[in-house]
Amino acid sequence: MSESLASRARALAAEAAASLAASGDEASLARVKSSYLGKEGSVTALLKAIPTLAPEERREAGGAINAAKKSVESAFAEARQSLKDAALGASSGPIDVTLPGTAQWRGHLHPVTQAWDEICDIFSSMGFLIQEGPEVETDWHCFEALNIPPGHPAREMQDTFYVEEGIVLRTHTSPVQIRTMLREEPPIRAIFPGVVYRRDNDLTHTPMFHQVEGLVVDKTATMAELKGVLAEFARAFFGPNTKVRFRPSYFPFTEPSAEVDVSCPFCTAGCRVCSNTGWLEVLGSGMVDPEVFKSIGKASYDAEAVQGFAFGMGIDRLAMLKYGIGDLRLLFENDVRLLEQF
Amino acid sequence: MRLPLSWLAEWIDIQGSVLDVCEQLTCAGIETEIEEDARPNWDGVITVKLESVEQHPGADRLTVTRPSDGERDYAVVCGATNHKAGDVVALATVGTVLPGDFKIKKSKIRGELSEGMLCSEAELGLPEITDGILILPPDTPLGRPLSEIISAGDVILDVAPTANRGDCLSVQGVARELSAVTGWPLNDPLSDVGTSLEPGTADTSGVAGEGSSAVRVTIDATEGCPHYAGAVMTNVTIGPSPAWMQQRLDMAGVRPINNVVDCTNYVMLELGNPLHAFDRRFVRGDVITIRSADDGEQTTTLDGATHELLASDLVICDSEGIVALAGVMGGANSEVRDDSTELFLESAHFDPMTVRRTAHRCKLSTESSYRFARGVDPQLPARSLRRLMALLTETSGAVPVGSTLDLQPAPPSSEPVSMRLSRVRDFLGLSLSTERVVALLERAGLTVRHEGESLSVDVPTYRFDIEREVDLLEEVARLEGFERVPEVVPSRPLMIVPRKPAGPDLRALRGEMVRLGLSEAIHFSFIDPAWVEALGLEASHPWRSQTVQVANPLSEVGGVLRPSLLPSLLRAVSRNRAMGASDVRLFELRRTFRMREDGFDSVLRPEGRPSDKPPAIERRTLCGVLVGRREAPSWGSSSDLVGFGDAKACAEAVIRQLGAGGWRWSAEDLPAFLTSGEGAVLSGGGKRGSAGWVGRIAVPVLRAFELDTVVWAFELDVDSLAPKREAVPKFKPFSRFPGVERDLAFLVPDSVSAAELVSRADGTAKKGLKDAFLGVEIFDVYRGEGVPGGFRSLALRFRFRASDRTLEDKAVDRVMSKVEGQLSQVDGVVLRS
Repeated sequence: MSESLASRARALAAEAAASLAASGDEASLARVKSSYLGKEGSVTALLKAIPTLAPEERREAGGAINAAKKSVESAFAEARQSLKDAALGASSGPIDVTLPGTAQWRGHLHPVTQAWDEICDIFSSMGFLIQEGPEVETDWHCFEALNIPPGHPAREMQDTFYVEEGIVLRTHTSPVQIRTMLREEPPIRAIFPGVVYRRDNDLTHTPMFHQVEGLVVDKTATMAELKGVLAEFARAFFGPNTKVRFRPSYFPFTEPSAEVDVSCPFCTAGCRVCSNTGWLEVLGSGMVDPEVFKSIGKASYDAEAVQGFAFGMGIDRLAMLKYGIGDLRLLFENDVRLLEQF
Repeated sequence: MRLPLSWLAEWIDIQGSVLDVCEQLTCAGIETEIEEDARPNWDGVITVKLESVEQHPGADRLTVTRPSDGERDYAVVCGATNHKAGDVVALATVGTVLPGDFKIKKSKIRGELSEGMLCSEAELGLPEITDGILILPPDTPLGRPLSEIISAGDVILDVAPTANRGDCLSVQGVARELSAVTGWPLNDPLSDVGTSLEPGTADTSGVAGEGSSAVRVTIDATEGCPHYAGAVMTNVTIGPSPAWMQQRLDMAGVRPINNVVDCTNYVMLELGNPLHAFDRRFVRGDVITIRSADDGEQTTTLDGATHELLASDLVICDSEGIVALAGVMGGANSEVRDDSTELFLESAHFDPMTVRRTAHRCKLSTESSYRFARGVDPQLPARSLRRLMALLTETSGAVPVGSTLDLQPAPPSSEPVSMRLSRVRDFLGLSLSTERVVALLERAGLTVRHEGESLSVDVPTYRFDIEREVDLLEEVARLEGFERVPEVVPSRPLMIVPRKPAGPDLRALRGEMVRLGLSEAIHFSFIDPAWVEALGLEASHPWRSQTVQVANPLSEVGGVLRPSLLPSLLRAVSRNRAMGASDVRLFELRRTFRMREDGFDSVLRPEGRPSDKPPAIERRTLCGVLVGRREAPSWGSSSDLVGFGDAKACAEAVIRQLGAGGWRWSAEDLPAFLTSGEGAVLSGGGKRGSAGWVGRIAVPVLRAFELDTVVWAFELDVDSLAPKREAVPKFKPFSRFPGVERDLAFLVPDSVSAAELVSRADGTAKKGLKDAFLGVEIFDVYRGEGVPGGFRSLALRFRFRASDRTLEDKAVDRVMSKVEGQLSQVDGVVLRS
């Protein structure tokens, strides 16, 4: 009898292993497992039969049946794992590996923003703070504080949009220099990026454009340092071989004043971009005029106590040069075919 | 200013080429270009001597010549007859292209070699004087380019001095500047003219002329008119000015009119002082008064325009009234006519600021006002008048009557300007010897004296731009050359520079938009107010009632500063669609503008300088538009179109990036440009008000912007949303025990919002398992089969996880049945099984 139980258990285990291996899905695996190990299962039935055996036979039969049970369980686990592996490794069909990856939406920053950010980063790395101010300005902050009284010829150079008497759309970001000096004590080392407006609309002028100005005020700032800072900037923005040329000019808020040219990054012997001159005019600069310090009206800005330099550049023009955009007006048309290139 | 080079050459010994002149002036800050070059191209034409002239063996009318340039001989066949051996002539060598595109080649003429051509005047583009070829003087050096030997044609320079250098708006002024820059010697072709008339006086009144021609001049406004010289000339015959004068005026861009007007213009161009000639007959009452206008006084200028004047304007009057706007334009009543025989000549100095204001306000820009506004040498009137009188005598037969007049009640300051020598190093960063500094200043015509460590500098009256130490420092740097100033990188104590400016991180916001697939647009800040009206808002809406308006807009770009970025972006969508784009995803992050409640009253003060607060309300605003497909088109992507969730995801990304808290979306008070029921407004409650919106643009708005597609959009006021202080993320510990998720789906009537359902579910679950409930989210929204009309199915996922134990299913089951019970009590909500 005991011989028979043990041998039946072994036979059942072998039979179970075979039908588990043959099961194609989780449900039939479970069914098979249950038909052996479930309440009504054949291995369970053998276990239930143990008490009917003689006490000296029970030990051997019990061992054999338990071994069969374990064997069924491990066969089940194994069959289940291989089903999972098969599912995991299943191919969903042949793949044409020459297809491109699927597309994702990807936006683009406007080229003016990219140039703006790059200019700010360069000056930040030289220790300049970034300051912004209002675009709707008072005539005083925009002109008078900068030594441009009413009727001054420099006002004709920058035809102004007025909101009403005494209120203008700023024609440069210089009023932010004024606001910064009114608010803070020297030393000042800051740049002033922003949107500016001039009443001009033709092939090479838009009524709105972007500027970055800079200001250094302390006890020892010299014109030589002005040249040094702008030369560093030009090399960082246009490339390490860029040369810088300073030409005397006139701005009411600086003395001496200089136009700054950089060597044309596109040619060595003259091209269309630089009108065959080899130079591009990109900056205005100079030593802060004592009249400007006077209009700040603080003892800490007495022209005998401090000196400084200032500069300004058009971001749009720098962006156009850097990215080779020939037509200024394209910058504000917002055609996605332009935007998506940057 | 157009300046013929030949005229400049009368005043300075030009020791270089035209290009040198341009370069030197430009590098000194006086931008100069070649405007017109009328010189014939003589490249390849040289001077040669005819060593022999022989009859051509094969042709009667030809000669074979042997020209020599001093180094080599040529063989040239010539058809002229006026030359003989020993003559110096012009040889166009092989390769030369003569005027008329006539190219000289090496050739054989009737068997004789010819290496060039002996030129006639006509062939060189010169007026024809000689019959035959051009014969040069026998002492002409040989082998030289012909252009060095004779000058022909002229070059017209365009000289553009900066606004502070009015002294360079004349031939004399440019010559002086060029000499200061180059050191080339100046000439004075007018040395015989002299500077003074009758000795000048400090009086404010005096008489020019005599007898019945006499004119009494009185200066009532010495500030506006510190110097006035005058003269009377008679026996004038009005007619055309001589050809040489007309030609020069023409080249300088001034139209010749008659001899009198031309002479005044000629002297202005030559010396820089604008002058005026009155017909003496029409100087009524024999008086000229220079006075301030009366407020409201009217006058008609030569151009026929009538102007209403202010007390700040300066006028020239006779006994009856205004005859000229001082320094700007004469009046129609006293101008010189064809039958004028007697003139009153005015050569005066007027205050730049006064002329500037009047010219600007009356919108009159004349050669005279242009010069006075930029400054003229205040000592110049006497010399200019002398020169004018001499020219008038020469060109119109005019003779002076009686004495001239030179009133100078307010002579310019003769105070020396002081400059500390140390400032050259400490301000400019230039190392120059004292001798060098002095030499530079002297080259500019300044007189320099040493005073210890400083220089005391006398400045000639024509350099009125030099008043202060910095002006002298500029002169030193300019004449030394800015290129000699070294490039020095400043060394300063280290300063900490913040990684980004204070306030919302705009760069990060742009980055979020780019990641979400929106490209950045930049539009002008101005728009046409009609674009705002097209949004269908009431007239009292702040976007219409509080706009900042430009007083002098450019009509083509609109006159209102944008209260919202939406109209510009809708236009951009429309244009891009018209260009064939089907998917358009754009954002813009710029300022929007609004008036303060009290306008500018709190900024502009009646007295003194304005307040430092920003004159208008300017808010950084982020607006986005989404059109077309939800997924980027590619193989395997869905063809679904963008919807509410996509637009709101963009808005939420902004709020998350800013770290804004306490804001709530609501379907109420939707702006009129959004489709009813398909948009939401972001509000902060109480004082914070609304800070943005999201939704589908309403059809009438689409039509107004010529859009043929569904547009989802959002706009947020970044400045309102940004928290005052930047929040630093704080770590929250998480559980190491397993978690449990449970899903429940409900049929929810449209009257119940998702937010309401979620909020109830959240409250109940939190109460039931406080220490283990993580949250509840909507993971599916479904309408369609199995869902009755007016309902949608909302599926909620609940997440539980305890930090100190493995959760028992039973505990979670208990909470979930409470949630089921609670939500089923909401009107019309039914659990989906």
